[in-house]
Amino acid sequence: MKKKILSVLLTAVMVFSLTACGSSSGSASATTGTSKAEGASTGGGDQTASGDITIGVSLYDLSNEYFQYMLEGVEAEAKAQGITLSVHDQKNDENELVTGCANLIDKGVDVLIVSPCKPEVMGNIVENAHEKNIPVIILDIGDGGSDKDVIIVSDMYGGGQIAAKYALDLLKDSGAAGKDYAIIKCEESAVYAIQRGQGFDAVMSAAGYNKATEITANSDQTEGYNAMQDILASYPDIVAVFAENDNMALGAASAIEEAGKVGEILVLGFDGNESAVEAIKDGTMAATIAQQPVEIGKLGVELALQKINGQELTYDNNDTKEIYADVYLIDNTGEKNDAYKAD
Amino acid sequence: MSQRAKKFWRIWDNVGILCILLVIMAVYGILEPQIVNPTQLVTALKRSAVSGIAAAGMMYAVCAGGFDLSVGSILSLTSCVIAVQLTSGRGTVFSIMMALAVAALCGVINGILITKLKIQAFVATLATQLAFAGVTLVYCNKAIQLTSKYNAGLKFFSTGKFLGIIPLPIVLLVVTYIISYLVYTYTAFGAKVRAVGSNEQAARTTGIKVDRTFILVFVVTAVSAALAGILNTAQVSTGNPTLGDGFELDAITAVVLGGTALAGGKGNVFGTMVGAILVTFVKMGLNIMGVGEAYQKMAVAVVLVFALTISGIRIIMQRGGK
Amino acid sequence: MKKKKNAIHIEYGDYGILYALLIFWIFLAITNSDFRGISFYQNILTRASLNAICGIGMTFAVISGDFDLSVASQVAFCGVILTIIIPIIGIIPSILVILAIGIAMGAFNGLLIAKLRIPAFITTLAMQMAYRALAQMINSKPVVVDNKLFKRIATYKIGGILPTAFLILIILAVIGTIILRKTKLGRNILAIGNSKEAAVISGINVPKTQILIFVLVGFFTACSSVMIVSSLGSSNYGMQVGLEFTVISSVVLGGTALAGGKGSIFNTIVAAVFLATIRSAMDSFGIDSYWQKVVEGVILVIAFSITEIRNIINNILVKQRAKKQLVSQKQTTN
Repeated sequence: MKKKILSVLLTAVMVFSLTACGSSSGSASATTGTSKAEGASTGGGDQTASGDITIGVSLYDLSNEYFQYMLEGVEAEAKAQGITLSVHDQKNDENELVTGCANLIDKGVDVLIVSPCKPEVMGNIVENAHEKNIPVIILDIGDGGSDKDVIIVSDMYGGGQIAAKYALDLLKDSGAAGKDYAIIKCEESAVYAIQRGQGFDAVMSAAGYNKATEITANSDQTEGYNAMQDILASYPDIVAVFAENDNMALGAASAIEEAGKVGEILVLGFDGNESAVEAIKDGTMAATIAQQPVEIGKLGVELALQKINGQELTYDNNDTKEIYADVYLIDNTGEKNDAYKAD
Repeated sequence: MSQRAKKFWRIWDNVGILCILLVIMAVYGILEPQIVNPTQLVTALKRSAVSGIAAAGMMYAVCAGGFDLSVGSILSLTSCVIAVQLTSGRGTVFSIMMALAVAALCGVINGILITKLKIQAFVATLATQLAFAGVTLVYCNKAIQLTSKYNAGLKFFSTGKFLGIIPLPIVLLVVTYIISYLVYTYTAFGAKVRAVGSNEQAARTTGIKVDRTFILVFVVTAVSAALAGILNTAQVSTGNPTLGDGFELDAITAVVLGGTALAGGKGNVFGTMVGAILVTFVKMGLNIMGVGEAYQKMAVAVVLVFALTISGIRIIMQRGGK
Repeated sequence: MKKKKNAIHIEYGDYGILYALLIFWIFLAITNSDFRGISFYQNILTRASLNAICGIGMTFAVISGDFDLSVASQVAFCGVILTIIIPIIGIIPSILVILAIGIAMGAFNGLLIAKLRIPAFITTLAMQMAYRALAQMINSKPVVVDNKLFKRIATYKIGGILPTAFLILIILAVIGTIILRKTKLGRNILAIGNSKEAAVISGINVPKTQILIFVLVGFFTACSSVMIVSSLGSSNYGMQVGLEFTVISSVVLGGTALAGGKGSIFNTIVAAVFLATIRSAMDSFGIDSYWQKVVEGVILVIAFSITEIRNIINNILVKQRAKKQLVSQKQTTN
């Protein structure tokens, strides 16, 4: 009997330690949980009084800058509109995506906003949500063929095109003779990121350039570094390299710096991370393509409100229910450059 | 087992993994000669320094009968600590010291969980992998670029040349292993690790402070992961909270390939180094040949199974061909 | 070790984890309105069931003193194949094929481990890479399942209340427990876990048993892959990365010692539910996403070491009582 009492007490202690560990901090860092309209964050998934709107937000991976900005946009717009948020971080895990959204749906949020780490699982989630009359708004990445209410897509392919166009101009200015370039790719399962390289390819080859090689670096910085070294070993005369994300681009840039070829080879990335902009200003990277995570987040909340108020959404593409978000070039001054557009 | 066989296996113990490496080099040499030209080989050695240095420390954990799954998170944490310190204006030396201190603390935590709370190493370091990763993100959630303003001192580790010729990463790798060999073979600590690894109970009865040895082992593992992280950060010029994702796999693979018996006890110091070089070399060659990531993964798996089948055959022979 | 009169005596297979779970749930229901309706529990049970089915097999392995690091890749491999063949041969035949593949993968692992004497850790480490690579080679693009009936398997709730995933888990758990407790194979596995040498001496065919252990792992992992693909509604060669750690954590948390010997499938399941509850609870309490990792790590540490923590506290209490007795004895003699 005593053993049971003691085990009960001890597990209670263990369980109380859960609440002892902090709750959400300010909006500058990544948060989960409920943010009240006033901006003060609270713990607890309390039901709000009727008339208040609650939006469930589930994001791909808050350890990734891009989604941190997206959350900022969502939180800013929610605060402005007096909407309560319930935030969930998928931590790049499809199980979290499914369970987290299921929980949000069961909590009875008014709208579900998702940026899915594995778009292909959205089918069940959207069905589930629609059964409870909860609209689903997908932010970027992809919709996995699901019947979502709207998806805001960044033009991955177009972004690659923009990068190539800028690269071509830089190459013309520098008078570089070579016609070879290389691409450092994300892992194959990142089907949406892969389009960036495809866009870059298309423009470059149309301009008479030749893709010397492409290596997969799995979105990893160290692998980007290794890949660049291996590219240099076989193809020392390439004039440009395009990495499908900034993480890999930074690794590649470092490898080029170590090889003493800064300025001889253009390094272009994608994401518009702070670290990449720093590298651009430092001269080790030439450019990156930035998406608009903050704007996408804001727009997501706006669309959510429209849905709640029963308004019809206007799409850029009625068949696929897509709304396009622009991507833009950050050129070698480290500033936004609107002169370059996708086709 | 015949005398000749015994002799063969003793030699294999020492140079087996090196033989496999040479065979692969030969194969690459035929398929794509450029992979084995001197500059490329130097690149391979430089590249294997990161996983190699971490594997040197991990070997002690495996010898003592455990493994450290948190080395990846420790590497990421180290990377962030260095970057934050450097960009706050602290000098290179100070930043490195800070990073090593933090890593040592992680090692102590691991050691205490395993010895005082009696949690098995596998699950203990599984938990700390998570906890350390969380702490890293709390400390620094965005990558920090080490621009030329900050990374001059650090870059030296990656690009510097000893005596003007030998790249520093290779020097660091070799020095680490020489130190490891001396420690493992000639110091009391090394002897204790071996004793604890082969039979923990017996070690306790002979008065060895097993708990202290374990804690020290995990500090060694953590610090070597930190050293690897410092080199890695120097290479990519960025403090990145996700730098070490998946790294523990590389470190453990190197140790295993090196021939360190996973049941504990016998460590193979230089075998571990060759193991690290082997994995790096296999992947590098495939990269150059343009082989896709799936096949690279499969290649490493095949090498692993092949190397281990050979040890397996040895055990079968030892038991009289059962 | 002498059994002290007031000592807390822990036996593997006791129900501590079940009490912990129930108290946890009661605590959550009291403090958090999310946990007062049935749906959160349904989600937790569904989520846990997917892992726990794999956990049934893993329990066998851990009992015998090994673990299988390749289960995540096995799920990915099975999943990729499953989504290819369902449209071709239908649901039931596809499931049978997958089960066969799972058994084959398990047998292959087992052969490497038992016949070639490669330690399980290393073998399954290598196979983890190999199966994942194979999955990628078979199909590197994600596939969405169209078959509505198939997707229902893991998501349907009987009578609106009981998740089918949980029901299937229970059925498989019963099968697993029967194998463990009532068959010669099960007894052999327990014996090997207790002491490999003693098992050999008592005439158990250890290599054959080892192969069967990993066949069991493969079988139950294949079952879980069917459920997982159904619940996700899709497959992707990169799916379920890290599953092996969640599953092994459940088994260890449930009390099956990593050193092997004792074990309980029931406790593995309870532990899986406990872990799933932690995740949902952390979200509900609005714990910052980064801190969630720290909290989860801490909770795991406490949970894994609860036995030892009990011992430490017990020792402190015993010492205090002894001191008091000494003091009162001195007083009476004075």
